[in-house]
Amino acid sequence: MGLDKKERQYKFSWDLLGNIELGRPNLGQNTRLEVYRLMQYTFRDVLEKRFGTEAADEIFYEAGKLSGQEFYRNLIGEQKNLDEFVLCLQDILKELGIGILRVEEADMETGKFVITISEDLDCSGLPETGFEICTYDEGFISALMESFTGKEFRVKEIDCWCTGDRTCRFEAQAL
Amino acid sequence: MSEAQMREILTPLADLLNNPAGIKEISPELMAKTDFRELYQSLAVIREFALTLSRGDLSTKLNGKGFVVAHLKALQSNLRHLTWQTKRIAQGDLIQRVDFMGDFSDSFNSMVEALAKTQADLEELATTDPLTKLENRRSFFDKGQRCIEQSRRYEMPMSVFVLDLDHFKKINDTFGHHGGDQVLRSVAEIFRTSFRSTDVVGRIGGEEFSVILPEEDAKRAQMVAQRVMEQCRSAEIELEDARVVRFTLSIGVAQLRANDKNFEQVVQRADDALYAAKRAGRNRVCCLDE
Ligand SMILES: [Zn+2]
Repeated sequence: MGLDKKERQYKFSWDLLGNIELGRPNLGQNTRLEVYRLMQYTFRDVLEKRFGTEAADEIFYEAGKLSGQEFYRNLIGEQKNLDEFVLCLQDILKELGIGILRVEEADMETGKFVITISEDLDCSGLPETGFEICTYDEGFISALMESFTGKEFRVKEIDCWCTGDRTCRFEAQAL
Repeated sequence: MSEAQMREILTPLADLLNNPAGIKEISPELMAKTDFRELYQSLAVIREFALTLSRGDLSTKLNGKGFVVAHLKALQSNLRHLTWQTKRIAQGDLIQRVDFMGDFSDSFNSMVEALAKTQADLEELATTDPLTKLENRRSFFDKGQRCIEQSRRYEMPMSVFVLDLDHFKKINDTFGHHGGDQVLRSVAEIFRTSFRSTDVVGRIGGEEFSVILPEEDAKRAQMVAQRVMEQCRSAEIELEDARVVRFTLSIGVAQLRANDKNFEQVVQRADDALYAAKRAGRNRVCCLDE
């Protein structure tokens, strides 16, 4: 059951990321990656305990999607064509330390895309658990694809550091 | 463990790695042992994958796990990305660069850069007048058509000049063709500084130039024309042999009309105005609009 708008305390807006220059004159933008992962995997633990694995994954996918929408709107913006979109995305993901993006397949007509992300922020170096763990990234990528193409996308991670691979591979399919 | 037992275990594993013919029968008891089976299967996957990779097959999906498999998959992934990049380059996307294949990356990137340079050179050659480096006639008329579409979309005026050097034949006769060429180059230089970067300047004939002024109506365009004409009148062009050439030009101005079918029609009107300016004694601006 959702809260109606009046009751929402945490509705996301880009402003919530704050004025970092003002707030952290000495520490600045950077934090250790462990801190990001600590937050993500404790969140995941609690969400799973409360709601079960499937629901926890769904929540992560949805949050990733929200994040991707805001990311596209605030950091990427209108793109002329696929090449520029990919290049812009590669640059920004690298610059922000999110990962190294590469495209293996991109078919605008059938809407099938295969991309890989190496040195992924979420999973690179994690223990091999045997299942793909980058659910947040799946949602994130789906929102980027949707924002760029205007079509709805479903994204699934098919290879992951956690399944023993050295690079995460995602399959995106327009619905 | 006896030597025979050891051989029974090691031979099929060694065959997987080394024997082109593959593996002989393995005893079911050995395959029943999990440790052996897993190692055996891993090696089988690696063998199969090495084979497909060496044949250039990048589409086979590799299902195994483990350190070597993961790195082979990473290699496959890089090669797939490279394939995609090459396809993009073939479609004219010359911003692709490779950054994960060692020496190959450098060679590949140099190749793409050379392609981009060639393409830019060819493009310049196809659109630029070699003497003055202004737009050539064809490129100028292409741009003119696009400017018309733009000004109609944004409901903005647009004007066109046709400019012609007065008595250019006399300049050629006095200073030779080489001197004439120098004058044309200097005129182009004056145009480059006196028009805005959004104006399009082209050389459309021997001593005939044309300029597109987006967002300007005929009235403002005539003021610009007057200024350019005066600039040219006061210019002194020093030739290589130190002789000084002075010259004047006549300018015809026309504004885009709603019923103009194409860019040629606007240029034709500017040309008519130029002709009128010549008849009226040269060294002047003329506009037949309004
Ligand atoms: Zn992953």
